[in-house]
Amino acid sequence: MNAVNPILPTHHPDAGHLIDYAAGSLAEPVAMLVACHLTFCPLCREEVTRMEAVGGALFETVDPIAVSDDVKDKLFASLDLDPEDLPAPAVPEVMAEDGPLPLPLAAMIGKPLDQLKYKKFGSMKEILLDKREDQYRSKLMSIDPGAVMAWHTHTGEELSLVLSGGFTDGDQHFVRGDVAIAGPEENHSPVADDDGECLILAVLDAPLKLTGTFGRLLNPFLKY
Amino acid sequence: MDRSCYSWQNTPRDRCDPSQQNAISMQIHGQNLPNPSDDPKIMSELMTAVAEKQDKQAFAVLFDVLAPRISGYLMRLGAKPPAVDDLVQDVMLTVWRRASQFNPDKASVATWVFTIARNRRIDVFRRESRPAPDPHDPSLIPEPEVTAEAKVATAEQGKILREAIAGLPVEQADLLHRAYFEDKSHSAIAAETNLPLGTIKSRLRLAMVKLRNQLEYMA
Repeated sequence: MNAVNPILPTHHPDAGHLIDYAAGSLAEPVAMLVACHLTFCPLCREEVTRMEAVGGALFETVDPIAVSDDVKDKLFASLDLDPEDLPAPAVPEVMAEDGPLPLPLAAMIGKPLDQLKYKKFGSMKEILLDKREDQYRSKLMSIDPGAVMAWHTHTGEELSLVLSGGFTDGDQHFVRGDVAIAGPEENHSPVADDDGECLILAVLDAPLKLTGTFGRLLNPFLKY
Repeated sequence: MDRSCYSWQNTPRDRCDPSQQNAISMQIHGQNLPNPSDDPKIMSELMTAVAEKQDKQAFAVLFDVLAPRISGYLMRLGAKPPAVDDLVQDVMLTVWRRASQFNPDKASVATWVFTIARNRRIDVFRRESRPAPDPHDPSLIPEPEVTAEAKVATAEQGKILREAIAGLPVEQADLLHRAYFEDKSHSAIAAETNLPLGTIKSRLRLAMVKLRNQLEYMA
């Protein structure tokens, strides 16, 4: 990778995700993925800055609602107090083959990748990072070089951010920093690049549905 | 400009009546200035006075303009009194403490305060933190060097954007308001409005493209 001309991502979250992120309505697992992509993507950072400016413009049109008189008094009484600033905890560097993980994710993981307890499924191993009652699952997936993922589709939306290595899906190639978005209309079987492990942060908002021959037998959603 | 010479004068008004907010006036050398909330440049200068000199009079004017809007924003998101008052105080205290981080070249005061209010309400309502890229992250890919392009000054952007938003087709403007003022992702909005997710995504994208074009056109 050329330090003067770093490779910029060519696959990005879509406008819906970025607006939700700028507006503050994005669920934390998805926001984490977006924040990591933003670490790699100055174009999307600029887009989010514009979207925040839209937020500021809308903020200026909000009907103002007066606050109680004592808010100002209490506030001004506290201005001279020294804030109890705790030093920020040191974020460990978490290294992958292609480079360190973005800091927000490194802070969440908190230890080197080879110390994580993965669950192994054939040529892939994964670790659940975040699981929400309502919807989202967030996983770190490590796929062996050249491995083929079983054909599958999605009942909801799946976002995959490549952290290291790469994979091909149809005619598109995804590498570090790229975000792949897959939904119910995609039925695919991505293939990991064969020159190294493919490390992905995946956020799903509903379970995968296996669609290959074996997959259909295992599919919990099909009733016979 | 010597800030110590201006005095803030609160004309008598009913504090419970939002329409009286515009009665705030500023006097400098005995002359009335226009309503600071109408002039983002003045807001910027006030914030800079707070950042550079911890100017409490400037901060008092900022409070009178910003606090009711922060309150309005939080209440649209479902916050109730007295929690709202605590949050407003909290946000304004953050504004005071972080005033030196305000960069008028990067954002207007309204935008900067919006982001502080947004982050605080995520903290408090959802008890989550908002992950953000770290500017000192060694993995951060920096902005490419570009030749200086004509850019609308951030102070003017607010007015251009407000007019552009008012000019959007109603279905796009409605979506934007929902996206920013309801704590719902675009997929939740799709579910609620019974519109296909793709339709919501493309309307939001079209709205943003229009707004960006408007900014570039004015540059």
